[in-house]
Amino acid sequence: MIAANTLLQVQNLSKTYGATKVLNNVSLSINSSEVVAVLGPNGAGKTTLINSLLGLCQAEFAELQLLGQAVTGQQRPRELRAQIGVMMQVGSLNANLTVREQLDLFSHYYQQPLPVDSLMEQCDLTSVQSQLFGSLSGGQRQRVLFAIAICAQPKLLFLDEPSLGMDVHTRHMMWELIRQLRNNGCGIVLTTHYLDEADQLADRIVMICKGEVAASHTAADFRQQANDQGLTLEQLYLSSTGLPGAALSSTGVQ
Amino acid sequence: MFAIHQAEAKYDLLSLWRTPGFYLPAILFPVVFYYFFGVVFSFSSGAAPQMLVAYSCFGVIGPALFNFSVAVASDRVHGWMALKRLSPMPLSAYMLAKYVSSTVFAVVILALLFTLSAVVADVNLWTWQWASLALILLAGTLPFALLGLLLGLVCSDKSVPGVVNLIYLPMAFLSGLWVPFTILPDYVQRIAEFLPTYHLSQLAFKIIDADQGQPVWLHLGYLVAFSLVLGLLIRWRFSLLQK
Repeated sequence: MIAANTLLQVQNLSKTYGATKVLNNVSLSINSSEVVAVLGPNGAGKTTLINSLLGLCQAEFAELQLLGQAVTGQQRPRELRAQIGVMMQVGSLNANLTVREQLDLFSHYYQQPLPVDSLMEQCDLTSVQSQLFGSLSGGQRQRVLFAIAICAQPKLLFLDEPSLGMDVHTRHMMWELIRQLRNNGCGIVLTTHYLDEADQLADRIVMICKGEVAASHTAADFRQQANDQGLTLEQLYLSSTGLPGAALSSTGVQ
Repeated sequence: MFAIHQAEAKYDLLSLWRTPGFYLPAILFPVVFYYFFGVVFSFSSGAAPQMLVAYSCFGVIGPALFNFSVAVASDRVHGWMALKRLSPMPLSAYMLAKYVSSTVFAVVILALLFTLSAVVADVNLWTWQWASLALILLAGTLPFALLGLLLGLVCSDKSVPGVVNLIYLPMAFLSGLWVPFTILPDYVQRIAEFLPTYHLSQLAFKIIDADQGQPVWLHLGYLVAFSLVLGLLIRWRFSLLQK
């Protein structure tokens, strides 16, 4: 039995590539108006977790509920996809279309998309609206991908390292938009390597290491633990994941 | 739903229009080849209509093969296809858009070749022959679009143009699309009977009574069977990519 405001619930999700187990019995749930930050080192399985939840790759799970619907196998029905926004880590768009054209194209996929002009304004893309995607900088491309992820005003949003390559101003702008989405009831899964980003946005922090959930705390608990142990968030993160460097970091050695 | 298909087709075509590296060779190769081999160095005085049919066939296959293979490989490798699959866009809109784009370029190629042949090579066909030729060739691009799609799902974006050329050019030559089929050696003619280019061209040659005399059902049957096999392979490859 899951709560009415639970947007995503997965039990015992595992994924193997050949003989390698990439994810091992991962369980996770997201409620509406909640941001869950998924942290972990490179190769921990964060992106595979998102891809498995979205049906981009085959995975085994005991139970998966998306927006109240039980999901089996890899197919995600169209009406579900219409309510889920995604910003992938390796995501590119057609290099020969302008920013406005990309957003207009994606807006056609949804029933009630945000108006393109308003979307561009929110994501600070108005000044580059006539530029081809192929001519944009890395940070500008990330902004377009973020705009596409939110253009349908999704109920559930997956952001896989969204601020990669963004300048400080743009990161803050994106954080503000994420907060607005959360306040409007959207549940957000955010993977990031930036602890300040998790600290700023997350209601809950889930740490994944070697394909398993190493720790799961509310953001407030995470901060409290760090304070109690006299550690920075980064030091607590390193000790929770048991990664090399934790001991050096906790003794202040850089 | 229609609006999604329409938008997808519009932007796919617009994107190709902004890629002269794609459409200039696709349009100019068959037209220039036809001009040189069908008009300037015509093999015999009566060969211009045959050469028109052969080069028209060669011309329409190119956009179908290249648009599907190169675009799909690139979209797949760069994550564009995954992003679309996660959206509510039906896969049919993506496929149909590619088919519409390659058909538009095929129409342009046919228009240029038909005009050139009528004006410069004095090719004189009945209206029904021009129309039938265009219809057969345009419909006949479907198996090649499927072949392009399969290659796009198998090859990387870097390797796919080379692989397509390696299939397309020998297939065209062996099927008599560059030089008259009858002057090819016997063993080449026997190989040709296994190639889809041969069967499409034979259907087109029937319009001007210049085919090899085999029945229509043989050519149609081959092209349908070829398309079905490709359909199964595409389905298998899709499922493999999702694992």
